[in-house]
Amino acid sequence: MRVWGTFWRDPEEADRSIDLDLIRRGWTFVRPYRRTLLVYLAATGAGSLLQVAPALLIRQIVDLALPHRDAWALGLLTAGLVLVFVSSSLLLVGQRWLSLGSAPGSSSRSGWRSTASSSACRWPSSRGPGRA
Amino acid sequence: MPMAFFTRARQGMIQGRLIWEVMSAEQLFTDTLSAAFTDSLGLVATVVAMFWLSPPIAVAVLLLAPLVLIPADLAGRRIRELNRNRNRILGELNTHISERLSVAGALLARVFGGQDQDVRRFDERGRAARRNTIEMQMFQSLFMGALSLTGSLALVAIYFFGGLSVISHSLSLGTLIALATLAQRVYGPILDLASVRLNLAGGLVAFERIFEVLDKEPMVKERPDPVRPARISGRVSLDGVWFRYPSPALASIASLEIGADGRALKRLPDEPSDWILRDVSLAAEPGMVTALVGPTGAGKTTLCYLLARLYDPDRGGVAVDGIDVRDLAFDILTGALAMVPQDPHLFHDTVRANLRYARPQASDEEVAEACRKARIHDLIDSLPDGYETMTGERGYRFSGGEKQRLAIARAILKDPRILLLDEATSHLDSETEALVQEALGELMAGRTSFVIAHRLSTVRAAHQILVLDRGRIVERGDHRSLLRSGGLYRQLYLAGLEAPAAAG
Repeated sequence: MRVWGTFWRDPEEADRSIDLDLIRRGWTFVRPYRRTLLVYLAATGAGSLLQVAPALLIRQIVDLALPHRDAWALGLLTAGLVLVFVSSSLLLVGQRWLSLGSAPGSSSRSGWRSTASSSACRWPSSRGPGRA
Repeated sequence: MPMAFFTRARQGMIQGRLIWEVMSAEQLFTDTLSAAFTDSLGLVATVVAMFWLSPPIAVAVLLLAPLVLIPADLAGRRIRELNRNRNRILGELNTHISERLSVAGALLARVFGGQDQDVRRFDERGRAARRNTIEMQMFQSLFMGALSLTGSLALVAIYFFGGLSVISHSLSLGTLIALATLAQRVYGPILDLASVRLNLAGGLVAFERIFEVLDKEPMVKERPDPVRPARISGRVSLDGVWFRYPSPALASIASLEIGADGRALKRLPDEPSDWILRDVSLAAEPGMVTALVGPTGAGKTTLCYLLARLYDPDRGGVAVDGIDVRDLAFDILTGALAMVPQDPHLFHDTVRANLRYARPQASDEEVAEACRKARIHDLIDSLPDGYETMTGERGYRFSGGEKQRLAIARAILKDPRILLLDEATSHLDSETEALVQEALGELMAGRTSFVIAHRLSTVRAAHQILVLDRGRIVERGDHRSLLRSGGLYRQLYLAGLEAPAAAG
């Protein structure tokens, strides 16, 4: 649960207002990877919709397949459940890869880090995308 | 960043800025915003499905939401406070360990017999951390309990009211099971969505802190089209230089500095220092040795900083080969000079890697030759791992004299035209001192050298001696003429130049 992460934040952060300019500036680092981000959002969206499917399939198993002793329907519905679970798992791995393995996560992170590092350590001739 | 930044900002805070804040900012996009999207979509799909299956039960499940949101908010506030305390205590413990368990810290504790006091203080902090952790765990349990209880109550409500509906044939058994399954997916996303604002604010704080570093205007800038002379001969001049250290607000970043209460500062003083250098003018020809002499705080080290362009003067100018250093390309200037400080810094790496820091493309033979000139080759060669010997943290495996000769070798390898040297004040044994002096002789030969001098032998050999006092050059000349004039130099000479008073 992501709410857990908020427990480790500084209490003063809770009272801060949301600065849209900061979000816009941060977005400049992610903008080159917006297509990947869209694929990521589509995958997460599909994953969250799939979460509802097992409950509805189970309902059909209990209300249709079992009372009518319909083995064919039972087979189809359980196969549907397997498909949903496998798809959800694959989507989860895909989401993780998109957010960490490729862009924008790791790329923007290394970009910020090297820019901040060069700002702190170097003479200013070699500034990175900080002003983007 | 100016040197003042590194002397003021806490090292751990700079590391945190480069590692944790960047990760936190990254999570804003890869975690917080994407999770908000996922949770919103998932919650809407679940609630719509529940309303489609049974509107009354869907309403009942949603009405129970405050039972989890309110305790989560209360527990969250307290846990955040406790977590801040825990971070402070752990930071103190961390500092305690890194200071006491370093070579210098352990030596100090051993010599001053402070071990008992250190152990007691460590124990107190450890107990405070334990108390804090217990309280945090309790509030976390409260939060988890509220979540689990609400989920269970929702399930009970579904099975009771849903069960009644199944008995009265207004709801199928399959729908009841589907509702029970869906209900388990409601409170998690609701809680997560309630925390989005806080996570967003936290991520933005990280952004703000990263941009604080990126936006800090550098105090020493390379001009857009700098001068790049084909070679530097090493003629140095200062013309009417006035300098004072910039205000902390200008040199540093408040949030990277720690106040007495252990928390990051909000603001820094806006006042610059007093004048450190006042109307200083000098000239040094290639190959000339200039000794800088004067009491503590006279401005000798600052003068060297200006020559290296670690700072720019407020008035007047510093020139190399007649070109103002502000017009010179940075790589030309840094390529032309080397600095050997009193206590040279060695990275925790091999001897060879430390030496090659000056010239990465130097061959093994060139590295060895530089070490021969610095009178340190035989010592390195006698070590089991030779040039692959690790120097240890800050070079602690080597003595003061050995570190200085390594630094001299590093400077020889760089082959600079201008040399800035702060002679070691530590008393080396006579054999080591002789070796260091020989190494320095090799290093200074043919270069324009500025030496913050503590030894009579160095001062005597200098082509010109500049005596500084409270930022002004009060006397200049050679050893004999200065002695004859009977001024400050004579006093320093009679006091013994090696004395710390002359170190400045």
